[in-house]
Amino acid sequence: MTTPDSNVPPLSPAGSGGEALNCTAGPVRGWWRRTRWRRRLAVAVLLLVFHAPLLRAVGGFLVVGDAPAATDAVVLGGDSDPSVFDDLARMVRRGDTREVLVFDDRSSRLVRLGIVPAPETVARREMAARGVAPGAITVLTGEYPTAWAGARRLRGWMESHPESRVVVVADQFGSRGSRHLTRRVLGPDLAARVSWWPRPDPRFDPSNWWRSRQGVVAVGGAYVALTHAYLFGEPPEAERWDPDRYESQLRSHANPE
Amino acid sequence: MGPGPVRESAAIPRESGVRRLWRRGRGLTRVVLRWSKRVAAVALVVGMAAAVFAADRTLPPVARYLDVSEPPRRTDYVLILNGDLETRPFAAAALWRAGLAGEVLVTRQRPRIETASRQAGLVPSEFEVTIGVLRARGVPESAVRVLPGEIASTADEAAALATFLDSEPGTTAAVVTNSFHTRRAQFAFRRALSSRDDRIYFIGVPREGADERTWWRTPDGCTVYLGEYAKLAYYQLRF
Repeated sequence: MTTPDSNVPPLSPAGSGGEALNCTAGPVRGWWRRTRWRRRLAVAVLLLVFHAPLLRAVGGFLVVGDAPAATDAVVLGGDSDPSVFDDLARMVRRGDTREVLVFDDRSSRLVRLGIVPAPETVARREMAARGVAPGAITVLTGEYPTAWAGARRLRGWMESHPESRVVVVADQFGSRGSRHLTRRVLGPDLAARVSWWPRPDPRFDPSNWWRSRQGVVAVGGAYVALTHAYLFGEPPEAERWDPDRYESQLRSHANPE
Repeated sequence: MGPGPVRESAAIPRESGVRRLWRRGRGLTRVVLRWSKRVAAVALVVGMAAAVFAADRTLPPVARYLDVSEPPRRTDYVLILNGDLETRPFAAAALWRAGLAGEVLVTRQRPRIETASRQAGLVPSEFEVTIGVLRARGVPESAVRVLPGEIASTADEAAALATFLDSEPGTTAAVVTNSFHTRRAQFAFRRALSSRDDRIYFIGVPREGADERTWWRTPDGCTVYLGEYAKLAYYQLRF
């Protein structure tokens, strides 16, 4: 008569629901685990194979608007690439726009010191080089440290120019965020008269933004700004750093007496 | 009727000790992983709740962690890292004017990573703006030295300074950058300078619109600080 092997667990009475179930739980759990890992592997492979269209969609979501056909005014602000002046000059010559509104932002200390030319200077110089008369340019000088401040200035201009339609030149990946905050500031009636013209960056665009560090930073920053605008609205005014006060602090530190 | 013939049951192989250990280790790993996921999920929820309901207390330390800058002291040189032109070159000029730096070191950024308007010459390049700021703030040309080569990253700047310090033994340098950038810069510079890293220290200046006390309230602050953490992780993995 054989003695039971101590390595073999005793069988439970039928219906006890204990070890009897454990006899099948092992293979079931293993199957589930293998299937879960296969699913993860499949998802990873799909992401790898289709990463380009997915990333294009991620970047493309941020781009809104289109090149304008005809409008009353084109709004130009911020850092513009040279090709926008070619397009603007063409629009003015064809009569597709009556005027170019230049947001002459003087909030930068580099501009105030004359180290970097003001947006007005750049716009007048470039448009004149393309044969556009100075009268076609309207300058809105002020301090626009944020896009919200610029949107408020635009609201004032549109309120004084009823019925005028405007096209806002925007950085491609910033166009959705720009549209959102402008609509919030202008309100639905004025916002209905505004459309967007997304300008591509020569260094990257929705089809290849992930291949360059600048592209990744641009898309990441645009999503953060868009999310922040949706969640929190206009940010509080930022404290300005004072280089003169910084220097005096350094001098005090260097010469304590 | 007596008992039937006794059959010898098939011998059941004993489980080896190694296999038993492997099985128990695997089971333990699964338990640990399962509980780790639960702890991580709870920590994430608690962290997000703290960020939302106690932001003023929980979020500034997130920014301060990135700041490893030191109080200013006298050095032979001060290097301006490329980036925030509204503050960094002004801070370097201030250090020179206060007598805390002998000469100012600048680098040239690789043209193809400049913005389109800079590449086209519509506005001055980053290098030209830096020189313009130093001149406007009273730093003479004789006190400005341009490091050779073109820069595309903080790692490039670290390599450039390492080469320069090799040619100037015994000299010291302050590195001026934004406060949030100092930890990553320190990582890159320590890697490039290795045994010479005691010859440099970092000065952090604020970035307008991205105050470490209230960084989450502005989109620029969020972009800067969250992006800096991503870049820091990238540097840790890459280098």
